[in-house]
Amino acid sequence: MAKSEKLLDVRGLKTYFDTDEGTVKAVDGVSFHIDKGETLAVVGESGSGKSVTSLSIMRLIPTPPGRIAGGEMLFNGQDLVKKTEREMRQIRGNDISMIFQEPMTSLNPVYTVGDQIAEAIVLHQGKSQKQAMKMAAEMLELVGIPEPAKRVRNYPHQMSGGMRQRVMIAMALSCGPQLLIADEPTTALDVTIQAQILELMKKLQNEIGMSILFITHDLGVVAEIADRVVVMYAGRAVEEGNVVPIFTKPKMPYTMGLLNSVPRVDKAAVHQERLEAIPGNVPNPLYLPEGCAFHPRCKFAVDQCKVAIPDLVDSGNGHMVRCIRWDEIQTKQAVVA
Amino acid sequence: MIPYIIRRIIHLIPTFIGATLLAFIISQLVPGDFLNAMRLSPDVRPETIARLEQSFGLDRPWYTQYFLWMGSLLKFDLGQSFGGNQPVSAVITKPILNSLILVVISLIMLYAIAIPLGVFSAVRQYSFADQVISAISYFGLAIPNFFFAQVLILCIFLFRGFTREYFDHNQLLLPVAQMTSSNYNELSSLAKFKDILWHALMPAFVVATSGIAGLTRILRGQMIEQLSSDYIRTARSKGLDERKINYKHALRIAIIPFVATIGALLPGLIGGAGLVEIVVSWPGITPTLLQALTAQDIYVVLGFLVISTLLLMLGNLISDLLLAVVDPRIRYN
Repeated sequence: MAKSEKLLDVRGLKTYFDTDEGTVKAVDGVSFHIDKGETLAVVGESGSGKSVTSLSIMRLIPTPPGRIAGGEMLFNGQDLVKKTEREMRQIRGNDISMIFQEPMTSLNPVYTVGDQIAEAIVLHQGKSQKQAMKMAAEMLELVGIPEPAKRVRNYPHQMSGGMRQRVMIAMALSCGPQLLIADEPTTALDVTIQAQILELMKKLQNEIGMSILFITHDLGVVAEIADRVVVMYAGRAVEEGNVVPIFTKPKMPYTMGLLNSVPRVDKAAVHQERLEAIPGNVPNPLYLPEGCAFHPRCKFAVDQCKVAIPDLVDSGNGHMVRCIRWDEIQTKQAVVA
Repeated sequence: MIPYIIRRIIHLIPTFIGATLLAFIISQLVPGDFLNAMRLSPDVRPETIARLEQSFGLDRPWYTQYFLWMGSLLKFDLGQSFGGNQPVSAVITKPILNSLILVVISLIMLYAIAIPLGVFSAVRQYSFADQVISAISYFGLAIPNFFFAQVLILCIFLFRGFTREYFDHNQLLLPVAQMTSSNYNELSSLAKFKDILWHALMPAFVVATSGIAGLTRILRGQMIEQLSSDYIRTARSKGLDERKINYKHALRIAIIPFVATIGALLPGLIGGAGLVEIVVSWPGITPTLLQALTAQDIYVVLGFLVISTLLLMLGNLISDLLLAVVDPRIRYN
């Protein structure tokens, strides 16, 4: 498979928010890329900058107070940072589309779901309202909503959360985007519905061939859907690599902490282990700690961690890690095991 | 929907009876009656007064008068006016129509001005223009409309003084009194219509001022709230332009509470035209009503009250039905 072609290449993205108390560096120099047809998961706690990253790609950061302070985002080789608002409008919903965390509030309550799906089709594909409504029904069928011809005339409040998220997906895919940004699309849903939505996204990705940028804090979901993973902490990427190495041999202590805090059927049954939580909280973005932002919560921290922000280094096979002690820690872990 | 409307209309009957009974009792609380002045006059003989009392029904107990009045109401008869010795309906029809002209024009002004201003203010929140609009809004809310009417009249005269001085132009910018020009009867019907419209502009604007100010403020708040909601983010992510986002998506929802109050404005604005009608000598409800009140011509007063009550009840029903039309989440069964 020719997977090496980059669809989106984000380089050194910086998104800052100017507040009364100072500048919040919500995203501070994040780089990653998404290949065509690939699913990249961006993982992190609340406040790590993952949602701001996704809104930055869409150029939907409310300005002011937010602004993209630096970096470039090459989409098919063209820098999205340099696009005018008018050019961005032609990209949004057409080449790059997005689904959100809250299916209950993400649809306008006073228009039918058909109208809301058709709106993008009319806008980007120049279809008539009637054709667009027909296509909207086809999209509903594609996302597995029964009786699509009837359901297009439903209002959002007549549907369940899972159904509404399917409608959001139908809307996002209606113009055949090259990139789908999914910002915690399953967080607000029941576990059984979550699995259905993930299945659906995987299936549609195979059919349509788009790339997916999947934003989540749920590692179970990542294992399910992603090809590669970027772990974010306090506005920076701290580890990046293919999904299997990240899950089996995490190198950044933060990623290890995240993985240990997930309940695992196999581990608990065999070792009767307690779940390990990462001590402390995400730092206040206005007052980030000196040096490595994770050091106050890190059980491997040494004095040197407080000196400078470590670089993101390649630990082999493109597995990137932002930790000065990754090599030592890995050896230690191996001994323990 | 139809059964709901029928049920609502049936519910209006006891409301109407209660409201009219209450209005009638209150009208009886005022000491004396229409014949007071005559009783005090030495020129009127007691027999005449007794005859008039009998013909007006003033010699009977109040509840008998009430039932007689209700009886005639059922026949769509509002009773007799004591003063003009003619049916109440003949006395009040013209003032009501005249007031309605004023009210309808001011309603149109209200929405035509307040909606764009409110949306603009919300979209440019905290900008200089927004703050100017806010300041003017508070001014509009604070100023009593009878006083504002006088201020405007003064301004119109000052402006004439200015144009006379520098441009040799001696016409008033807008008429400041009456509903029609002196040559009204000689005009064609189109010109008559234009003449009334021309006279209504200033008073209608005055009547609308506080409404414009209030609606602009509230709509601004509603719009700001809607613009930060999730479905607006969805609309943006679809690639819609700001105009569509503001008007098609946000305003469509921000406007819902106002649709709910349109019906209540109907009788309210007739009352609201109030003192402005007196300031500009508009032959509307207020002058007629005040005259009837001072003369204790109670059936004329009650006639206005009955019409207001009907408008209020009808307005509320229309509001509720409109609400179901604009908000699909509401369905009546």
